[in-house]
Amino acid sequence: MTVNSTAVDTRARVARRLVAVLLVLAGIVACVLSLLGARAEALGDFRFLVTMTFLILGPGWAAAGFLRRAPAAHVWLLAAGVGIAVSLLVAQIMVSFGLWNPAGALYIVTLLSVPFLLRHAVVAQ
Amino acid sequence: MKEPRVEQQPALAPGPGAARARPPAAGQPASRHGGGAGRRSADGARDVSRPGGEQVPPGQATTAMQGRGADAVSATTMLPAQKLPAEPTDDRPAGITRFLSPVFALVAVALLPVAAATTDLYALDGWGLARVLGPAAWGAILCAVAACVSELWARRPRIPMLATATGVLILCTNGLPSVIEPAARFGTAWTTVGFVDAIAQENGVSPVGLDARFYWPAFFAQWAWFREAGGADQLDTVLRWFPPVVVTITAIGIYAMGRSMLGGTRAPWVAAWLFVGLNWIEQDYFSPQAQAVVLLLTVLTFALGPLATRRIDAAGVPGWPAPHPGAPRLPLMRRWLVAAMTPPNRPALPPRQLLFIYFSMILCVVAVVVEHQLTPIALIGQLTLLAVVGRFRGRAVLVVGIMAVALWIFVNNRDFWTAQLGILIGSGDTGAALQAGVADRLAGDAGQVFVKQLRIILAGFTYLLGAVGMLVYWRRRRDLVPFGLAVVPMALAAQGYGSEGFLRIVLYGLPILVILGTDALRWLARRWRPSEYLLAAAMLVMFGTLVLVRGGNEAYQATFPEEVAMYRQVVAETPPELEIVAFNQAGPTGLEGITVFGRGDNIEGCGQLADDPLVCADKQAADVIVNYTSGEKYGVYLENRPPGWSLDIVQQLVSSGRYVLTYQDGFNIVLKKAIPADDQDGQQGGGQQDGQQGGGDQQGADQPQGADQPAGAAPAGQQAGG
Repeated sequence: MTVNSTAVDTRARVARRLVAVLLVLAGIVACVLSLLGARAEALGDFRFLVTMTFLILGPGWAAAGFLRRAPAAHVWLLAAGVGIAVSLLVAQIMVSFGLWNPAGALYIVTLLSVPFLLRHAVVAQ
Repeated sequence: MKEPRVEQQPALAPGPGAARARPPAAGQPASRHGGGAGRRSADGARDVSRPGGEQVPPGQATTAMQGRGADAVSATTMLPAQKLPAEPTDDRPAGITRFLSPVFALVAVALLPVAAATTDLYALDGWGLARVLGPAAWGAILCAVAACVSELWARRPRIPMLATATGVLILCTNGLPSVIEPAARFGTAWTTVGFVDAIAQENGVSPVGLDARFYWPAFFAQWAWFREAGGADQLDTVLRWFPPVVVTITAIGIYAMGRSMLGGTRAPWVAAWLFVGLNWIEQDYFSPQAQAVVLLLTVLTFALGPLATRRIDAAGVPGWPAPHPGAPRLPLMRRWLVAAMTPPNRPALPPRQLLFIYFSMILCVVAVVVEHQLTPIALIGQLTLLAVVGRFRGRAVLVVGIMAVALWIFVNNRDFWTAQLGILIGSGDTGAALQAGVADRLAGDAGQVFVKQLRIILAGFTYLLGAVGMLVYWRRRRDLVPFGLAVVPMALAAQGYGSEGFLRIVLYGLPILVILGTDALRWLARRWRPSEYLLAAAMLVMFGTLVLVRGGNEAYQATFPEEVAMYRQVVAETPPELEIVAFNQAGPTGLEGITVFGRGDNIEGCGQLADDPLVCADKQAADVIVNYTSGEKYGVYLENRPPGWSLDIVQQLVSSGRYVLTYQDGFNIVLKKAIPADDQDGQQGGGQQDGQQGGGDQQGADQPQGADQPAGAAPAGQQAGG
């Protein structure tokens, strides 16, 4: 009798949880550094890297976490696709409606993404 | 009545569920890559679970591997099941082979810094990057290919190792310029970052009067947002590493799509490598289309994977073409009738998952509409084909896409299409587009012409391989639709988009073509096992060719930090509203300050200032003229000018008395308009009106051959050009 091991699934779940936790941290750090206005040499580079990573992957992972039992490639592709799409649309909305406020948009995206990311950190599909 | 032909593969491609049912290798979990929800019995036969635990008679079983997480209650109309002949198990011992791939990958990465240190970028000529690469760079490429091949040949390929090897392969080939060049290549990428800067400087207002691309400002606004929110002043590092990152994401998409369309554990990786190897188009630089392709691929992957459906004849005869050579052809009317009245089967996904995927796809479709001009047209064309032939569930996504395009162009961008209707509808002159996109590009010295001919050959080979794959796919799946997806973007040629139209056609067709091509290669490898060795050698040749072809224009596309610093210094020292014009289109002109400074008007006969310097400088009202090392090489290798031509032009301009040389470092040159003597006296008498400008101009006038160093410019470490 063949018994399907759940080891691979478990490893995948752990990985997905870890990514969610890291993105939560990235979002919070990006917001904190934005509030502090960090622009020093190394810290400024770190701030930009963290902010960019979170804005591209954070909303995408918050969405892709709902994809059930999909292969990792599908999850990562959807995370990248949705993340890029969300950031494009948010930026377009800011331009179209004259609401240009980069820091404010960062806080709002973080506020909306983090609860879902926390959910995925606890309940990985 | 004949038995309906049994498909060799499941009719649907519900993501992992589409993987080919094959006996697991020793020690391998049965469902690891088979991916079905159904269970295997001890003898490998498939048990299909039904609600209520009832056993389905063999004749009514479906292939039918429900996607993992499938809704078991949902009825499907999948094609009848079959039992595949068991493939011989591979008894090769693992041995040291499990260490081969990691070692090759590590060596490849370790060689990259050596390659960067030993490559003389100032020696670039018409043959491009391949000519100046040292043994370390070629060794890195060899090791990267070896890492991929050795893992693929392993008895049990490890997915993390294959993913790592693929990443190394991308870094060593597509990413090689990013590794060995100190700044981002490609003048167009610097122009794009100038657009980003414009949005940031204007506080989110898109300056549509400057360039038609500002009617699609989402990409520029997105990166302006990232820049401002991240507290960065410039995006130089992003520009440099953007191409390999985009290729990596795209390769993930190809792999995901390959899992759905090809199945198996190895073929999707080969598809990803084939994409990387045939991606000579270079549309992955920092640009809207690079991101748009990621969105397009996301939508297509889910349309061809989890949302794939198949419209079949209820009688089990799929219609035209004849399902097998001996099958009688049905009357046309009946085929149409059957096709029209047979509803597509349903994807094996729970409704909530379907809704979630629809929502995600709609986000991507709408985002691509506001981001880029051509990509939504290609995407909607491909989705339309899938919807018409019943291979895609989610036509609402298509409707939303069409509405979004119409609203965006005709309502939001009303100013654009009313003022520039010609651009929107195109010339319709495919011949002219062909001339501009292909024939006119065969210019330059011998190296340039050879590389460009090689590009045409590569494009032809890609479509040929895809066509062979179409035949194989047809034999295997009775399906011609995928090739149609690669053909649909060709409609863009009818619009006469311009010289880049053909690049975009290949760009949008490439993902599908490489998957079909992989099917052809797999068919060959299964028919004739020794061909695997030939294919491994061909992979090496392909990536070597890729480096030659992608880097073919490197002589004038490579941008040096001193060029960037020089332009920034010029921007810092030039009063607003003046015109800063470059000799030609090479170099990082316009990387910032495009809302403050003009870049020369587009005047007929003066497409570039170098065509007729004295006349064009006047017509374009150039206040500051710049040239770069890349500009000099652009003239030498692409326009067949004599070496040093740009210095001759400088001599002409200076000797005319209208311009003074204010900075020179090799071919990096800044000329400023000479101030007449009476004005000069007036300025000196009345104080310097433009403090920033004055100093530089006066010094320049005093020292026509001087080399007053801009603050940010590096000293001439190496002489450019020769």
